[in-house]
Amino acid sequence: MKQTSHRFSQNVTRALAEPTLKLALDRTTTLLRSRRARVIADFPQYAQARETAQKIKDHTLDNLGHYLRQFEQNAIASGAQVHWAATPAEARKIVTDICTAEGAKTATRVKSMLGEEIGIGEALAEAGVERIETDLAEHIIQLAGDPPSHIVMPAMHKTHEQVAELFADKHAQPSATQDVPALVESARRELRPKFLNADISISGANFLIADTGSFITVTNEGNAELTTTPPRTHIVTVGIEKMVPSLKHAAVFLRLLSRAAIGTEITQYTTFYNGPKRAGDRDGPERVHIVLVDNHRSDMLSDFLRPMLRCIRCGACMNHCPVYSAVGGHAYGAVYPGPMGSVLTPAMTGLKGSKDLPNACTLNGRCKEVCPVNIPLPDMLRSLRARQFDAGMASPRTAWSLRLWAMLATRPALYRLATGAANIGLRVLARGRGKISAVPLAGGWTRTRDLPQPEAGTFMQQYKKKRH
Amino acid sequence: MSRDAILAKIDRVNGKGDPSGIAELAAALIAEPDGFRATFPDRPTYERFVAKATSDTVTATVEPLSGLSALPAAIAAYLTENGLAQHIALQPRDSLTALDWTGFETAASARMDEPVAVTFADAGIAETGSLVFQSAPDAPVLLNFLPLHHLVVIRKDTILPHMEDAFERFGTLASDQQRSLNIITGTSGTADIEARNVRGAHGPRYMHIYIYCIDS
Amino acid sequence: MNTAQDGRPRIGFFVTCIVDAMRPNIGFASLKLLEDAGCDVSVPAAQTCCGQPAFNSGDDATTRRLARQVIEAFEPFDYIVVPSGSCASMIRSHYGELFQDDPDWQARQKPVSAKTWEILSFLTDVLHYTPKGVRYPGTATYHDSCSGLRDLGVHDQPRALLAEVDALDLVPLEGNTECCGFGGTFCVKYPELSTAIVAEKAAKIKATDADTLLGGDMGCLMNMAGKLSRDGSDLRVFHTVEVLAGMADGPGICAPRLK
Repeated sequence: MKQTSHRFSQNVTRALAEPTLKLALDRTTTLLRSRRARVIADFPQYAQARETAQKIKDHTLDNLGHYLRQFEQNAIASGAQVHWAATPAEARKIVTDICTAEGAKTATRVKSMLGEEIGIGEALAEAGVERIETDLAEHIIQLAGDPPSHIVMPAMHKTHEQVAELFADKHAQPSATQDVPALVESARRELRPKFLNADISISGANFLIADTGSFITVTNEGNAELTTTPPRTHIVTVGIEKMVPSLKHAAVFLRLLSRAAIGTEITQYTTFYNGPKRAGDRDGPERVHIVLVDNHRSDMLSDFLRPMLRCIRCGACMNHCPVYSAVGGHAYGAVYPGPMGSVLTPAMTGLKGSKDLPNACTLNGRCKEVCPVNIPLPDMLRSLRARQFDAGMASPRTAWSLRLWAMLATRPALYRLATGAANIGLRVLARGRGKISAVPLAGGWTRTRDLPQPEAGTFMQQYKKKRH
Repeated sequence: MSRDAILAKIDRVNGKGDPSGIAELAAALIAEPDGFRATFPDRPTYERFVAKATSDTVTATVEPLSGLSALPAAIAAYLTENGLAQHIALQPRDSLTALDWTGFETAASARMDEPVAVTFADAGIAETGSLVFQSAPDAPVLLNFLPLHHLVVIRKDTILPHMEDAFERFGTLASDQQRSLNIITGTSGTADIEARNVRGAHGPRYMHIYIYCIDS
Repeated sequence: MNTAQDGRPRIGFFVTCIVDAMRPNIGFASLKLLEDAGCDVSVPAAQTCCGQPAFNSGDDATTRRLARQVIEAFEPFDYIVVPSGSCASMIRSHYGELFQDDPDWQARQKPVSAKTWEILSFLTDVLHYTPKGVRYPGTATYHDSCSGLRDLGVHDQPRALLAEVDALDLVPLEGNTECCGFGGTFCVKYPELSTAIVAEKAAKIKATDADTLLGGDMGCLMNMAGKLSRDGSDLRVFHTVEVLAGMADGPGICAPRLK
């Protein structure tokens, strides 16, 4: 997708003006939040599971080289081919080369954010392969020509009424009604034949298992297995941070992922894949290619962004983010929206093109609170601001106001004079009404909110008078 | 080559630690699994499995069988009750094909719009009401995904408490692994439109589980 | 505990820049409560701001200068008490990040951070204070400000204190732990987003039966009161200490002055 993070403010304005967006977001986030809260309340071991998960990820990251080598060796032993890509461009080339060598015409795809990150759509177009998205939400946004707006629910920005209109327009046999089950049935009819006739399947992986060389997908729709079983070749593109040591370690995360993401104990389909079909198997791919992608993950390993590599892509941070809930995922203008995206986008694509993302956050901390692997997202966003500031990226107005403010705030006596003067000024503006509806240079506040009229005299002035 | 460059970069940051102690460190992290998984000390494994499988989130139905030989009659009743033809896609496993399927039309693979498939679960997981299917020459994967009605047979003593127990059963080494292991919990569902739960997204809409005991 | 000679704990009261400039009544209410609870309270003159605006703008050098100023002014006291979860959390939870490479200042920062408290939790958890004979006739709802809630665990304390106030009914607020959209510099850097968030908050507040909104952070209260006032609502907005000290008899935040 085309990154538009540098136009964040315009994106926000547009998102806030969209009449149905907030409705769509509220319908989904309200349900996801309440389901998550309920399923976690029913899981007394949650706190310890979360702590264990964090420790496992940290341990794996501490020994990532070892586990990657172990995984590679075991995956090859299982019959898979393992590729390594340092950049999205390398990953795309690996994918297009495989498609070309296979003479593939069609590829079914299981939603994967890593695939979006590396531009799998472009890679398939390059190879002349028709891409068929099989996840229902991905199917919706493919028909609509939209980028994903959420990492778990990519069509969160659409109301069911909009989906109904879209299906009526694009499906061969659309449903007669707009109700959700009828829409799901319509997609089932549309996609079913496509699963069975594709040349290639492409998926991501939720976890890599070092000591078996397996990879895992989790879905609720069952589209991963329907996608990856019939075609002769299965390509998996996956970030190197998805590693866990063993199957039993993966179990810890499987208990957390679905609870955090959608509020269920486990996803309906959890599949462990171990290379191509065995002798005598009646179905399954003949060839399995695993593309291990770095794309700045190894850079993140070396600085304060390291905890971000624990992320299991559950989306809980965005479901609970006030900014995401107000404007949705598209406003962020990047593959990964919400709090985790505001950390990942600068890390993967540079600070310059995503200047607003770490700043457009109230640092309220809810994202960290709901994160199943306890990623200190607010601290990292704050640290990214410091990195921006050190790089001289603060806007002239911000830099100038900070300098003036710091000059006063570090000189208490002068500060007293300034606040005393401001106190008088604001009271003049309030004209005794108790509130102020316009303040020069503070239009951002007063356009939509009143400012209280200050009391007569600052606290320090009054205190001095009273006590001395 | 990107492989060596990526690994070299990682080793530069992490240092190339001594691999001998890593396995012990990893094992220590999960030494006490009851601290981080749902436990059910007061409830037999079988009861927990049934309660979970038939819960409103998993949505399966469960039927005890007196023995495996009672399966064809039970399935015939299910088909009649649901207004379905006496046609089933039947997993080509000897224990199933050896049963008396007189009166049925059976096929070893599923068609694109297969109404009913009958497959054998290799294990159950009581913690979540899940079923485990290991792929094999007599266990094609698609049979579990294509039908609208997924009829599953499971032997009662293969229902295990937790996912970790299933891993033990099927092996935890690379060399143990069949092509795939599917852990299936209920039916195909989606919440992709306004987070509203709908069943039968791409795969089965209905799951019916027959549980039998080996000694009968 | 190093206390005043008469045995009373010595408190350095950090008024916070917003309370100083906008609503001194919160400061005086705090002093009254602390003194009622038996503390010896001082207000060091060398205080301005905790440094949060600079910190949240990524200007760590300026933050450090302000942090050193706070540490110097407040290290003599037994406790530093702040009528704001956000400013208290800045000193208590975030100052440590500033001096990781400076052992001398770290040695001074650590004890200061450790003895810094948000006032409502200080009254409850440290002083075990219960307000007596306070009356506030009305139905109030409570917004839990984020830093106090998540960094300092302030949630039950204000409710316990308010339960002792006569004639006061506390009704739940849907989404009481969700951010109001203030976010310090956020509200002026991203006014559209901040407005969208506070508009939703204001709607939820108005959906309760409350005639009063209470909270523990003047920044958030000012944001919500400003929106409610602009919407034409006549809900009264107070900081919790104003009610607890019996000093909520004047106009609420953004309310018309009574002459």
